[in-house]
Amino acid sequence: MSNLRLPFTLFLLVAPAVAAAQDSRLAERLDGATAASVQQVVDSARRDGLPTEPLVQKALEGSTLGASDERIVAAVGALRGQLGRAREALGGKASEAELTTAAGALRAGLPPTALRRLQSLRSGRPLVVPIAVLTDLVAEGVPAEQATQSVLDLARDGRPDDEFVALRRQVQVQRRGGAGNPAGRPALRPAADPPVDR
Amino acid sequence: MRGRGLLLGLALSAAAVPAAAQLAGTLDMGAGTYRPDRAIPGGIASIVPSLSYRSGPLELNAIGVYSDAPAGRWNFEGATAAFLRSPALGFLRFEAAGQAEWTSHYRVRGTTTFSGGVRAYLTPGSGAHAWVGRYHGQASSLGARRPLQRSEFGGSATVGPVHLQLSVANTKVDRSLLFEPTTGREDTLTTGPLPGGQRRVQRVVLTDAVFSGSWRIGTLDFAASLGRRFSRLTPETTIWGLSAARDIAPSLALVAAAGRSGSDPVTSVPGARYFALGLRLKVGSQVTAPPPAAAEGSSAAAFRIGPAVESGREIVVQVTDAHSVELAGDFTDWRPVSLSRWGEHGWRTLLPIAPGLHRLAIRIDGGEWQAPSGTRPVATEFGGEVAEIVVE
Repeated sequence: MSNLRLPFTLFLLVAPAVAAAQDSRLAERLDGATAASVQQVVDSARRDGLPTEPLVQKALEGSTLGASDERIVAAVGALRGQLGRAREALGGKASEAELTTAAGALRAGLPPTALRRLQSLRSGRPLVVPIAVLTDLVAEGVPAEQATQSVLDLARDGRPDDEFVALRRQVQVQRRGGAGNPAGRPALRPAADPPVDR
Repeated sequence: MRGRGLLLGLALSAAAVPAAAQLAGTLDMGAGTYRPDRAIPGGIASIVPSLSYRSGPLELNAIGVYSDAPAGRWNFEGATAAFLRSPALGFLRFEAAGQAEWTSHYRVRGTTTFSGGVRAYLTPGSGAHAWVGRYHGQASSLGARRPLQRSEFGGSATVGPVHLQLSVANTKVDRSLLFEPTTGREDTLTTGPLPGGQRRVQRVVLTDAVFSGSWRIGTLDFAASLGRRFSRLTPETTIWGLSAARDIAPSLALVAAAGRSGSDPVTSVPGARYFALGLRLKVGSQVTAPPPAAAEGSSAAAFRIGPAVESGREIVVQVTDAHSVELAGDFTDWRPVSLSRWGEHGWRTLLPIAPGLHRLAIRIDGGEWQAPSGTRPVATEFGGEVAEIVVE
């Protein structure tokens, strides 16, 4: 009997915590059955060590856009799969932000090998901006191979994030004309000397 | 020091700014070299405060430049301008403008210029503008008042990340000339007539053509201008300026500027060559000029997301003919956030957004959610489109 008491006590302690871990945003914005289905996917991702916030956001996005319950659950499940493939590509040490961004890259059609190559060239430096820029370039219409090569070249040279963003701007300029720079500010200039007799 | 009083007044009025209004300011402090025409060159320290207030069709700008050179030589230039813009009438829009400029100097009388006029803007779309304007005013310098007329035309366009502008201004000002029996002298500080001299009013006409641009490379903001003055009665001069700024903190930037300013024939303030390096302190919501107004009836919407400041990032959407604009994204938990009106067709909000890849959509007048123009739309699994943006 004493052998059963400990697991039962642990269950009593853990059960409320598990219930509290359920995302209240899902319950607020989705109907009960849909929220429960999404929560199952979220819990599954958590057990596998995958980020869960993107899954919640995907469900909330569907809710705001007026999607059907089935579509919401399917989209969340698909994203969970992309996150899993992103982790396969980047490994267990990738941050949540990196996995989320990498999932977007895979969704855009980039191969996992491109992500792995980028990771090896960055040698421990954050990958979020390079992957996001790579995804953006492909979505902008740049062939995946060419976009990957451009981003890998910057990574190989150890360039900072700013230069990846500059590359994206450059491509936008060429392809569709990017957003304009805000109006210039007053320059630091000395006040002129008094009027002169001319 | 009327200029300083006005700047102080504008600064104090910040507390009374309505919620929908925009107030932004910068304070540049720096040092460098200064080589004025026909005066002593040397090192110089400068302080340049500027304020910009925008509320609906009204815009007020003020800037002051205080410089201190060795031997107690100080100069101050102040300028303030007010603009009142009409609603867009198709591709056309009008703007009434009033401007006051003044200078003060150590031991020497300053100058003042008042002018007012009207500009007509043609906005065919795609961020391009053309304008024509006419101004009248009066300038006082060296003890003489002179009527002033200025006509101008110009155009601006955004080409990729570069904003370009060309302006041509034709200025007519009457100058009082005192001719000696043998040689002519203009605008002399001598008050009494020279023996045998003859006073005559002469109209000076000069045309300034200036091409300017501003752009961003990485984290550096650049501005450059190159111009030429054409005149039969004053020396032709090439004027130019180049400045760069780099943010080193959300409210602090490193700035550098160099150039050759032209003399002002209206106030007789001389031109100079200069170089300066300093810091820029930014206060208020760092909002620059509103995005160009799209033509009436166009459904185009420009989208802009600003750099992170203490209160979040500024998001501006340009939508014509809207009564309400909402924004939702993964940074709002996809809860709709109502945007406030900003400018003629602008809608704005401030939200905390972390760097990275984000998804968002806007809804106009309660309609369908959509990707704002100026963003990259992506098809969603739910039908329709949202925008994916990279926040730096």
